[in-house]
Amino acid sequence: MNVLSLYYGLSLLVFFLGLGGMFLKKNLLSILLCVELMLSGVSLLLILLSKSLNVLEAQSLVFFIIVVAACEGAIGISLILSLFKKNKTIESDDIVTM
Amino acid sequence: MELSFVDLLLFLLVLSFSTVVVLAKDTLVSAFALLLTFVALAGIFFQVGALFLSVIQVMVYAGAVAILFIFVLMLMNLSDIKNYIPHYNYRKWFSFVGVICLGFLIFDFILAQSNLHQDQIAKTSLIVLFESLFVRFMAAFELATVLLLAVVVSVVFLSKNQENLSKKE
Repeated sequence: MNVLSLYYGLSLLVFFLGLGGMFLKKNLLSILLCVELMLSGVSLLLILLSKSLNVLEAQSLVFFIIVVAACEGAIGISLILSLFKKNKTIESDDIVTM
Repeated sequence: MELSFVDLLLFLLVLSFSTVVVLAKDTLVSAFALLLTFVALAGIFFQVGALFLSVIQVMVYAGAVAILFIFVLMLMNLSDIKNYIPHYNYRKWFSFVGVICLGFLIFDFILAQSNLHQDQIAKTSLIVLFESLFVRFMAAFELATVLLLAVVVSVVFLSKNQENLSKKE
Protein backbone atom coordinates (compact mmCIF):
# COMPACT_ATOMS: atom_id res chain seq x y z
CA MET A 1 0.00 0.00 0.00
CA ASN A 2 1.23 3.45 -0.87
CA VAL A 3 2.00 5.76 2.03
CA LEU A 4 0.63 8.82 0.27
CA SER A 5 -2.80 7.24 -0.28
CA LEU A 6 -2.94 6.40 3.44
CA TYR A 7 -2.09 9.99 4.33
CA TYR A 8 -4.62 11.35 1.79
CA GLY A 9 -7.31 9.41 3.64
CA LEU A 10 -5.98 10.66 6.95
CA SER A 11 -6.10 14.31 5.85
CA LEU A 12 -9.72 13.92 4.75
CA LEU A 13 -10.57 12.14 8.01
CA VAL A 14 -8.97 14.88 10.08
CA PHE A 15 -10.77 17.57 8.08
CA PHE A 16 -14.18 15.94 8.40
CA LEU A 17 -13.64 15.13 12.09
CA GLY A 18 -13.02 18.84 12.61
CA LEU A 19 -16.07 19.75 10.55
CA GLY A 20 -18.27 17.32 12.47
CA GLY A 21 -16.93 18.57 15.77
CA MET A 22 -17.63 22.14 14.74
CA PHE A 23 -21.31 21.30 14.28
CA LEU A 24 -21.59 19.02 17.31
CA LYS A 25 -19.80 21.06 19.96
CA LYS A 26 -21.53 23.78 21.95
CA ASN A 27 -18.47 25.22 23.66
CA LEU A 28 -16.98 28.12 21.65
CA LEU A 29 -13.39 27.17 22.49
CA SER A 30 -14.02 23.58 21.39
CA ILE A 31 -15.41 24.93 18.11
CA LEU A 32 -12.19 26.95 17.67
CA LEU A 33 -10.14 23.80 18.36
CA CYS A 34 -12.13 21.96 15.69
CA VAL A 35 -11.42 24.76 13.19
CA GLU A 36 -7.70 24.36 13.94
CA LEU A 37 -8.10 20.64 13.31
CA MET A 38 -9.71 21.34 9.93
CA LEU A 39 -6.85 23.67 8.99
CA SER A 40 -4.36 20.95 9.92
CA GLY A 41 -6.16 18.53 7.64
CA VAL A 42 -5.96 21.02 4.76
CA SER A 43 -2.25 21.63 5.47
CA LEU A 44 -1.55 17.90 5.31
CA LEU A 45 -3.52 17.59 2.05
CA LEU A 46 -1.55 20.46 0.47
CA ILE A 47 1.79 18.93 1.47
CA LEU A 48 0.73 15.56 0.06
CA LEU A 49 -0.43 17.17 -3.19
CA SER A 50 2.86 19.07 -3.50
CA LYS A 51 4.70 15.79 -2.99
CA SER A 52 2.69 13.71 -5.43
CA LEU A 53 2.44 16.40 -8.15
CA ASN A 54 6.08 17.39 -7.49
CA VAL A 55 5.19 21.07 -7.09
CA LEU A 56 7.24 22.07 -4.06
CA GLU A 57 6.03 25.69 -4.26
CA ALA A 58 2.68 24.50 -2.95
CA GLN A 59 4.32 24.06 0.45
CA SER A 60 4.53 27.84 0.78
CA LEU A 61 0.72 27.83 0.91
CA VAL A 62 0.95 25.75 4.07
CA PHE A 63 3.14 28.48 5.53
CA PHE A 64 0.35 30.99 4.86
CA ILE A 65 -2.22 28.60 6.34
CA ILE A 66 -0.15 28.49 9.54
CA VAL A 67 -0.07 32.31 9.62
CA VAL A 68 -3.85 32.51 9.14
CA ALA A 69 -4.43 29.83 11.78
CA ALA A 70 -2.31 31.72 14.30
CA CYS A 71 -4.22 34.96 13.57
CA GLU A 72 -7.57 33.21 13.77
CA GLY A 73 -6.62 31.60 17.08
CA ALA A 74 -5.48 34.89 18.62
CA ILE A 75 -8.55 36.86 17.52
CA GLY A 76 -10.93 34.03 18.39
CA ILE A 77 -9.49 33.61 21.86
CA SER A 78 -9.62 37.34 22.62
CA LEU A 79 -13.25 37.49 21.44
CA ILE A 80 -14.17 34.44 23.50
CA LEU A 81 -12.43 35.92 26.55
CA SER A 82 -14.37 39.16 26.20
CA LEU A 83 -17.61 37.19 25.80
CA PHE A 84 -16.71 35.14 28.86
CA LYS A 85 -16.06 38.27 30.92
CA LYS A 86 -19.38 39.74 29.83
CA ASN A 87 -21.68 36.70 29.95
CA LYS A 88 -19.78 34.30 32.28
CA THR A 89 -20.33 31.52 29.78
CA ILE A 90 -18.78 30.26 26.56
CA GLU A 91 -21.64 27.99 25.55
CA SER A 92 -22.89 29.00 22.12
CA ASP A 93 -26.53 28.33 23.07
CA ASP A 94 -26.40 30.75 26.00
CA ILE A 95 -24.86 33.65 24.12
CA VAL A 96 -27.51 35.74 22.42
CA THR A 97 -25.79 39.10 21.99
CA MET A 98 -22.18 40.11 21.37
CA MET B 1 6.90 5.14 -1.12
CA GLU B 2 6.17 1.92 0.67
CA LEU B 3 4.27 1.74 3.91
CA SER B 4 6.45 1.39 6.99
CA PHE B 5 5.75 0.83 10.66
CA VAL B 6 6.47 4.49 11.47
CA ASP B 7 3.90 5.67 8.90
CA LEU B 8 1.25 3.37 10.31
CA LEU B 9 2.05 4.47 13.86
CA LEU B 10 1.80 8.17 12.95
CA PHE B 11 -1.47 7.52 11.09
CA LEU B 12 -2.99 5.83 14.12
CA LEU B 13 -1.71 8.51 16.50
CA VAL B 14 -3.13 11.39 14.45
CA LEU B 15 -6.43 9.60 13.97
CA SER B 16 -6.83 8.72 17.64
CA PHE B 17 -5.78 12.13 18.98
CA SER B 18 -8.02 14.02 16.54
CA THR B 19 -10.92 11.77 17.54
CA VAL B 20 -10.23 12.66 21.18
CA VAL B 21 -10.29 16.38 20.21
CA VAL B 22 -13.82 15.98 18.89
CA LEU B 23 -15.22 13.48 21.37
CA ALA B 24 -13.74 14.66 24.69
CA LYS B 25 -16.26 16.35 26.95
CA ASP B 26 -13.64 18.40 28.75
CA THR B 27 -12.24 21.25 26.64
CA LEU B 28 -8.85 21.04 28.35
CA VAL B 29 -8.54 17.39 27.32
CA SER B 30 -9.47 18.45 23.76
CA ALA B 31 -6.73 21.09 23.82
CA PHE B 32 -4.14 18.59 25.04
CA ALA B 33 -5.22 16.12 22.36
CA LEU B 34 -4.94 18.89 19.74
CA LEU B 35 -1.38 19.58 20.92
CA LEU B 36 -0.51 15.90 20.48
CA THR B 37 -2.24 15.83 17.06
CA PHE B 38 -0.03 18.74 15.93
CA VAL B 39 3.14 16.99 17.12
CA ALA B 40 2.14 13.73 15.39
CA LEU B 41 1.27 15.67 12.20
CA ALA B 42 4.76 17.20 12.34
CA GLY B 43 6.08 13.63 12.27
CA ILE B 44 4.01 12.95 9.14
CA PHE B 45 5.34 16.15 7.50
CA PHE B 46 8.85 14.91 8.28
CA GLN B 47 8.13 11.49 6.80
CA VAL B 48 6.73 13.07 3.61
CA GLY B 49 9.83 15.25 3.21
CA ALA B 50 8.53 18.68 4.26
CA LEU B 51 11.18 19.12 6.94
CA PHE B 52 10.94 22.91 7.33
CA LEU B 53 7.17 22.75 7.70
CA SER B 54 7.46 20.00 10.28
CA VAL B 55 9.72 22.26 12.36
CA ILE B 56 7.29 25.17 11.89
CA GLN B 57 4.42 22.88 12.85
CA VAL B 58 6.07 22.01 16.15
CA MET B 59 7.24 25.56 16.89
CA VAL B 60 4.20 27.58 15.82
CA TYR B 61 1.22 25.25 15.99
CA ALA B 62 2.18 23.02 18.92
CA GLY B 63 4.44 25.46 20.73
CA ALA B 64 2.37 28.62 20.37
CA VAL B 65 -1.22 28.06 19.22
CA ALA B 66 -2.07 24.93 21.21
CA ILE B 67 -0.24 26.19 24.31
CA LEU B 68 -2.16 29.48 24.00
CA PHE B 69 -5.43 27.53 24.01
CA ILE B 70 -4.34 25.60 27.09
CA PHE B 71 -3.31 28.80 28.90
CA VAL B 72 -6.62 30.48 28.11
CA LEU B 73 -8.54 27.43 29.34
CA MET B 74 -6.58 27.52 32.56
CA LEU B 75 -7.11 31.27 32.99
CA MET B 76 -10.86 30.85 32.72
CA ASN B 77 -12.40 29.41 35.81
CA LEU B 78 -14.15 26.58 34.01
CA SER B 79 -15.89 25.25 37.10
CA ASP B 80 -18.00 28.44 37.10
CA ILE B 81 -19.33 27.66 33.66
CA LYS B 82 -22.77 26.16 33.40
CA ASN B 83 -22.96 22.50 32.34
CA TYR B 84 -19.29 21.94 33.11
CA ILE B 85 -19.10 18.21 33.77
CA PRO B 86 -15.68 16.67 34.36
CA HIS B 87 -13.45 16.86 37.42
CA TYR B 88 -10.25 15.25 36.28
CA ASN B 89 -6.97 15.18 38.08
CA TYR B 90 -5.10 17.51 35.73
CA ARG B 91 -1.72 16.61 37.20
CA LYS B 92 -2.18 13.16 35.69
CA TRP B 93 -3.01 14.70 32.30
CA PHE B 94 0.04 16.98 32.47
CA SER B 95 2.29 14.03 33.26
CA PHE B 96 0.70 11.96 30.49
CA VAL B 97 1.12 14.68 27.85
CA GLY B 98 4.65 15.47 29.04
CA VAL B 99 5.73 11.85 28.81
CA ILE B 100 4.16 11.49 25.35
CA CYS B 101 5.84 14.70 24.09
CA LEU B 102 9.19 13.51 25.44
CA GLY B 103 8.61 10.17 23.71
CA PHE B 104 7.83 12.02 20.46
CA LEU B 105 11.05 14.05 20.78
CA ILE B 106 13.17 10.92 21.31
CA PHE B 107 11.30 9.19 18.48
CA ASP B 108 11.89 12.16 16.14
CA PHE B 109 15.57 12.21 17.11
CA ILE B 110 15.93 8.52 16.26
CA LEU B 111 13.96 9.09 13.04
CA ALA B 112 16.25 11.99 12.07
CA GLN B 113 19.34 9.87 12.78
CA SER B 114 18.05 7.05 10.59
CA ASN B 115 17.04 9.41 7.76
CA LEU B 116 20.33 11.24 7.27
CA HIS B 117 20.05 10.64 3.51
CA GLN B 118 17.20 13.16 3.58
CA ASP B 119 19.75 15.98 3.90
CA GLN B 120 19.84 16.51 0.16
CA ILE B 121 16.02 16.39 -0.13
CA ALA B 122 15.81 18.92 2.71
CA LYS B 123 18.24 21.29 1.00
CA THR B 124 16.41 21.22 -2.34
CA SER B 125 12.98 21.54 -0.73
CA LEU B 126 14.19 24.45 1.42
CA ILE B 127 15.69 26.25 -1.57
CA VAL B 128 12.47 25.85 -3.58
CA LEU B 129 10.31 26.87 -0.63
CA PHE B 130 12.29 29.98 0.20
CA GLU B 131 12.52 30.99 -3.45
CA SER B 132 8.76 30.74 -3.79
CA LEU B 133 8.18 32.56 -0.48
CA PHE B 134 10.63 35.40 -0.94
CA VAL B 135 10.54 35.83 -4.72
CA ARG B 136 7.35 34.52 -6.27
CA PHE B 137 4.95 35.15 -3.39
CA MET B 138 6.81 38.14 -1.95
CA ALA B 139 3.69 40.34 -1.96
CA ALA B 140 1.68 37.66 -0.17
CA PHE B 141 4.46 37.25 2.37
CA GLU B 142 4.46 41.00 3.06
CA LEU B 143 0.66 40.94 3.35
CA ALA B 144 0.99 38.12 5.90
CA THR B 145 3.24 40.31 8.03
CA VAL B 146 0.71 43.17 7.76
CA LEU B 147 -2.02 40.70 8.79
CA LEU B 148 -0.02 39.65 11.85
CA LEU B 149 0.50 43.30 12.81
CA ALA B 150 -3.23 43.99 12.37
CA VAL B 151 -4.03 41.00 14.58
CA VAL B 152 -1.67 42.22 17.31
CA VAL B 153 -3.25 45.70 17.22
CA SER B 154 -6.81 44.34 17.24
CA VAL B 155 -6.11 41.95 20.13
CA VAL B 156 -4.61 44.81 22.16
CA PHE B 157 -7.66 46.95 21.27
CA LEU B 158 -10.04 44.17 22.33
CA SER B 159 -8.30 43.65 25.66
CA LYS B 160 -8.24 47.43 26.33
CA ASN B 161 -11.92 47.58 25.48
CA GLN B 162 -12.58 44.82 28.00
CA GLU B 163 -10.73 46.77 30.69
CA ASN B 164 -12.80 49.90 29.95
CA LEU B 165 -16.02 47.88 30.09
CA SER B 166 -15.10 46.31 33.41
CA LYS B 167 -14.16 49.76 34.83
CA LYS B 168 -17.55 51.16 33.76
CA GLU B 169 -19.34 48.26 35.43
